[in-house]
This record gives sequence, C-alpha cells and structure tokens, in this order.
Amino acid sequence: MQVSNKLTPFFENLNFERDDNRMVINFGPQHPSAHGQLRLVLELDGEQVMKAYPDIGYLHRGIEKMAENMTYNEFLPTTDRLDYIASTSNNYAYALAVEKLLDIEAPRRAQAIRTMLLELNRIISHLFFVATHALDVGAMSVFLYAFREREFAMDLMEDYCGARLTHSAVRIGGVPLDLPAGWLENAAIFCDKIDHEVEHTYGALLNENRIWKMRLEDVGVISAEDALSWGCSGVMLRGSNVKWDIRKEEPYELYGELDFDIPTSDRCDSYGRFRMYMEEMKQSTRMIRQLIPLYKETKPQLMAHSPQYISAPKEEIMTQNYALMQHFVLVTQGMRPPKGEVYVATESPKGELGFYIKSEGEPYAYRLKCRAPSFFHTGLLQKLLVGVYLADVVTIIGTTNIVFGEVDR
Amino acid sequence: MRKYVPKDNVQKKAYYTDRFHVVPSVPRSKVEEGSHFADVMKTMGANVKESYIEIGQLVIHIAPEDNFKVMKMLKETCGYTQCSEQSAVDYLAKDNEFELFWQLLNITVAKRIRVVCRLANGAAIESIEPLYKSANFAEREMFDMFGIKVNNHPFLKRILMPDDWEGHPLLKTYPLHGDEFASWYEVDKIFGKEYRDIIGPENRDPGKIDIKDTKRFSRIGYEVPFAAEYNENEEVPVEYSETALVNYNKKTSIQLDERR
Amino acid sequence: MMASGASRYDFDRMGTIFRASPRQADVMILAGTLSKKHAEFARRLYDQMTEPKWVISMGSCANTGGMFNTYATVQGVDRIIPVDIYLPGCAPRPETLQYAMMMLQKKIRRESADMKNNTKQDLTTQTGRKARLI
Repeated sequence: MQVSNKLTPFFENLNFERDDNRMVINFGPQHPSAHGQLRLVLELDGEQVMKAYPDIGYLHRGIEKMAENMTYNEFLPTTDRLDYIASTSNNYAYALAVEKLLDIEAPRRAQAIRTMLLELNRIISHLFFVATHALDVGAMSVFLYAFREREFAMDLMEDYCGARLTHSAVRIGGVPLDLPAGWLENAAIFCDKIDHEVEHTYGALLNENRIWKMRLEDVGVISAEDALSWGCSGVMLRGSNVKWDIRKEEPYELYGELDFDIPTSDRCDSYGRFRMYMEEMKQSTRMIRQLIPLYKETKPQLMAHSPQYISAPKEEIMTQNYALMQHFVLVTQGMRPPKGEVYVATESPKGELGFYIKSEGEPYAYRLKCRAPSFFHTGLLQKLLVGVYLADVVTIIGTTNIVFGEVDR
Repeated sequence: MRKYVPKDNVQKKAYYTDRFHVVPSVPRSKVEEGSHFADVMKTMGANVKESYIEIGQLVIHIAPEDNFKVMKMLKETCGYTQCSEQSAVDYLAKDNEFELFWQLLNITVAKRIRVVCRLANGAAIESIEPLYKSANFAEREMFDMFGIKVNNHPFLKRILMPDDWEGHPLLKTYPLHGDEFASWYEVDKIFGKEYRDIIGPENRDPGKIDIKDTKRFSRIGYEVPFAAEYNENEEVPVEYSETALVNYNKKTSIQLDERR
Repeated sequence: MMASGASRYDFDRMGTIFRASPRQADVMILAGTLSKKHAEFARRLYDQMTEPKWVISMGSCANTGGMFNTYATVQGVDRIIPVDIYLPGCAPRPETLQYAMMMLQKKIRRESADMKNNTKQDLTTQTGRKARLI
C-alpha cells in the first residue's frame, strides 16, 4: 500500500508513477469542466483511456442523516440543495412521497401550479445543460445566449417564490402561494421566446454545426441493455431508444391530462441526447401553454384539507381557535405520518428522482433514501469512458448532465 | 445528574408523545388474482416469506441468502430489468438486524417491486452486480453508510466518505454532528493534531454569539481586523432599535409624506 | 456563480475573469459547502495560488456550515483557509458576488503593498507554515 502524505495522495490499487507506457492522471475534484466536485482517476495509454474510476463524495453533506433528525416539514428546504439547478423538482418529489404516505392529494389549483413550476424548472435545467455542455465542448457563445433566456425563467421563479435557485415552492399538501398577477401572461411570453430561441438560436448554432457534430456524434454510445442495467433514467435512457417516461407511464399531478410527446433517439450517442434536450424544452413549453387555461378553471384552494397533518390556511389560523391549536401542535411537534414505507419516483429533469421514506409513526423519518439519477449516471462513467480519447471525456461528462448536489447528497 | 440518553439510537426523538396516541399504519392489501403481481408471485413460489401491496407496489420479503436467486428470477422471467434503488435501514437497536431493500422496475408493464430482506448484524449479503450494474455504486454506498459487507462485489470500498474515515454515518448510533474523529478530521489531515489548540473546536451552535471573538461573525455592525484583541472600552458605532428606541412608525410615516 | 459570469450580470466588466488554474488566480471563491473530504484539496489549491492572494467565502454553507450542521461538512472554511470577504445568502444572488468583488477591490486598495501588516494572514502564519514545509 502506498504511504499517504502531502505529495503522494492515498489511493489504493493505483500507482501514479509507472514504468510502462501508461499514465495515471487525476481529473478533478476542482476541474472547471467536471460540473462540480467530480474526481476521475484515468489510466491512459497514450491518449486513450484504459480505465476510469469516478471518485465522488466531495460534496457529501449528510442530507439523508439530516432527514432522520428533522420533522417532515423542516426537511423540505434541504431538498432544494440536492439538485440545485432545478430545485422545485426535488421539493416536489419529496412532497409527493410524503403525500402518498399520508394518503392526501393536493387541490387542483395547486396541482396546476406545481405542474407549471416543474416544467419551468425543466426548461431552466435543460438550458443550463445546453449552456454548460456547449461551454465544455468549446462553443462559448451558446453559453451566453442560453443564460440570457435562463434569466427570464429565473425571474418567473422569483416572481412566484422570491428565490432564484433554492425555491421551496412546493409544500407538503399543496403550494403556499397563488400565482401573482400577470404571471401567466409572462409565462406565455416566455414560452414563445423559448420556442423561438431553441429553434433559431441554439438550434441554428449547434444542430447542424460541423464541429459540434464531429465532437458529439458516436461519442458516449450506450446500448439500451446497458442503460437499463446501469440504472439510467430520464434522457439517458430515452437516448438509448427506450421509451420510458414516468410522466406518461405513472402519471402524477396533471400530466395525465396533458398532451405531449416523449422524444426518443435511436442514435444512442451524445448528439442524440443533445437533440432530445432541445426537443424536451419545446414539449415543456407546450405543456405550460396547455396548463394556463387549466389553471384558470380551478377553484382557489391551495393546500389540501387534512387537519391531522396539514395546517389550515392563515386566515383560519388567525380567526378560529381549533385551527390555531392544530397549527401549534403541527409546528412544535411536527406531523406524525402513519407507519409504513413508500417509494415514489418522479421524472426530474435529470431522470428518475425518487424518495424512499420509512416511517415508524414518529415526527422524524426513520429512514429517508433519495434515489438520485445523477448518482447512477456517475456510476456509468466507469464503463462509458473506457476506450475513448481524453478529449472526449469532457463531452461524456457533459452529456450525462450530472449535478453533484444530487450525486453526493 | 445528567439525563440518561440511550446510546443505541442517538437520533432526534419527539419531545412529547401523547399517552393515548395510537400510530396508524399504511393500509396493505393482498395480491389480487389475475393481476401482473399474481403472476410474479406464482413464479417466485416458495422463495417469498411474506408479500403484500403497499401504495401501489408489491413488497416481497425473502431470506437474505436467496437474494441473488430471487433477483435472477425477477430479471429473467418477470422482466424486471432495472434495479432503481437499493439500500438498507438500521434496526440494530431493536432487532440487531438490518433491513435491506431493492427497488426493481419493469418498464414494459410499468410496475415496481420492492424486495425486502432482514440481514443479521455482521453478516454479508451476496452482490447482485452481475445482474444489475447499478448495484455497483449502490452497494458501495450501502457499505459506506452502514458497514454492510457485500460478497463478490468487484470493488467494495468507501464511496462518499474518505477512505480513512472512521465509523458508518447512517447507523443510528452515529450522531448527526459526528463523533470526535469527524470533528477534527480536516484539521488533523491538513495541519496535524498539534494544531487542534490553535484552530479550536467547531462551533455547532448556530445561535452562539461571543463578543470577544473576532474571528467569527460576532461583532455585528462594524468591522474589526481579523483576530484583533478585544478591548473592553471600545465603542459600538451602530445602534439598534432595541437600545435607542427609534420610533420607526413615526419615521416611516414622515418619509412616506415626503415621498408623496 | 455561473450566472454572474454570464450575459445578464456580466462579470467581465469589473475586470474579473475566471481562470482554470490556481497558479494564475488572485482570488479564490469558495462557492458552496466544503465537505471534510474536500477540505484537504481546497487547502492545497489555496497553497498553490501565488501571493498576493485573496479568498471569498460565498454562501452560508462556506461561511459557517450553514444549514448543513452535520458530520460531513467543515463548519466554516475559515477553519482551514483565511477568508477576506464573507458573502451571506443561500445561495447568494449574483449581485452579492459582484458587490463582494467591489468590496474586495476596495479592501485591496486599503492594504499596504508590502503585505507585512496584513492581518488576514494570521491563520497562515500560525498554521500555514507547516503545510508549506512538508
């Protein structure tokens, strides 16, 4: 075993100074194109990767441990920090898991707002993907354009919940606020803008760009069987021509009533996945447009009525004694869900985001496991990177669209 | 006398529970005849100890030594081609056992199964990595967080915590704020043990304010040089409403009038 | 941090350009939670930077550990690296980062050029020496 000191880092099975032609390089944990704290140990033969070893955990904060020491409502803002590019999808996945456990359903207006926010977050996340992926591969201008549109989406989120990144916009049992005046009109304008930009800016810059295609085509090829076996989900799975989208197959919220397509690609490579991200943005705008009339038909109730678990609306708390008492108990002690376990999967922008909750009837979850899609996509890297050239490594990391808040938790 | 705290579960507990509080359970239903799950149950046969449907998903309890066999049947016969999640729950305090679960997904019929088994403390489980490659990382995480050993895993090593970490964080005996080793880990690693005194212990109390401490954020309202000496006679230039009793209502109304 | 470098907030107009190597950098921005596993590497990056160097701790998690009061996070990066500017917020807005950069520029103007009376080097003189000797 190597003796660890400041100059030769401890790493078993790997020897950085070697006698043969091979070379071991250390990629990260602060590499600018590693999308956060990914450390890759690559064994190279010339320019070709012979062995890849992703080393994660550099952003491990013990979120699952925190969940065991927090009441259910306290934990909700912590889920923001999982996939911090699209926070609402985490909040939602967690809230849905607890709602399934409590057997309550959010009112229809809350469902409409949630679905709209989820799709808006999907656009934010996909724009971020296009921007950073292009930046990694070498197309700087796309980064600037995509961030320009992302700021509009951020402003919409800020209008709704007041935060840019960490939204906490979904609560257990509903949403805290109604949409502010003029939000729907702005959202409609934003949808038109995104459709136009996806087609005429990013699409025009990248889709048929010769350099872009040369760098992405046939890079990071995953077969359908591999994708399933390695636990891929979301775009990574659909990019391998497996038509599986949780929004369609196990519909939650209003997705069952919406008309949208699921893009798949039989190319199985990075370029196919990039085209699917672009297509998914268009589908998201299509969904938001359908949701605007649906929202207008709903009644104004925002939180589910379930006095055992959910506090009453503020007006009732301020006027009615019993509601105030319930609120006091729920805030000081926390809700006590029934004994049991639940696993709920949702389709986050990155893939299948699921929460497993084991409840023992206490106000604190006995065990909470967050099934993060990026975690399994990072695991796939050790297969995907073998045999590619060093220059393609960055492209492949970019195409998996991993976020380290979620990988390490 | 110090209050007795049980050592086997140091996680946060409810400070008050009603004496008459009865914990309800999530309803569990039997597997219906003719459904997809009934076919699965038929294929499984005697391997299943207990089975029920909980919130739309079939839960089957198996013996820990059967796990590879059962997974293989589920994958090859029943079409459960993806293992989307796998981890453990700590029941050491109660039963001296871990509860392991695998969350499987069949994408052709859109159904999910949870396979559950109880593993005694210190026993090892067979790896399902040859069947589902996603178990590669998931089992390593389980080993890291609980210390559950996995047989025939290609590379069983800590994944989220550093290699030289002591303890398994998700055990119920492990405190949230970490043990002695965890609290000095980065100091020992970077500077060495002899620098513990200079750097000092971690502040785990978010509400702590120490007026003499100039290394943290204690002197609100004015800037002092980092680690400056504390002077008893120094004046605080900024006054807050609590000390000076400014009538903000009056002030704001005047400002509002001016703006109008 | 990405957004502050991008089109709307445009960091370049303040004379701030992101560099990929610590050897070319003057300022290190510690953005986000510093876990115990990462602490050693962050300190090594700081040691790799050439003098003069400044550090901005961005966000509550980097300042004090923030909401992540757990076994795996360093409770404030100033335990291992001397920090010049602390940014509040979780996550701080791009404007906050820009303002911090302006504050840092102000602070640098105020400092003497010979760095002898620079009080922020306190932790380095006490603890950094050992790290350099090895």
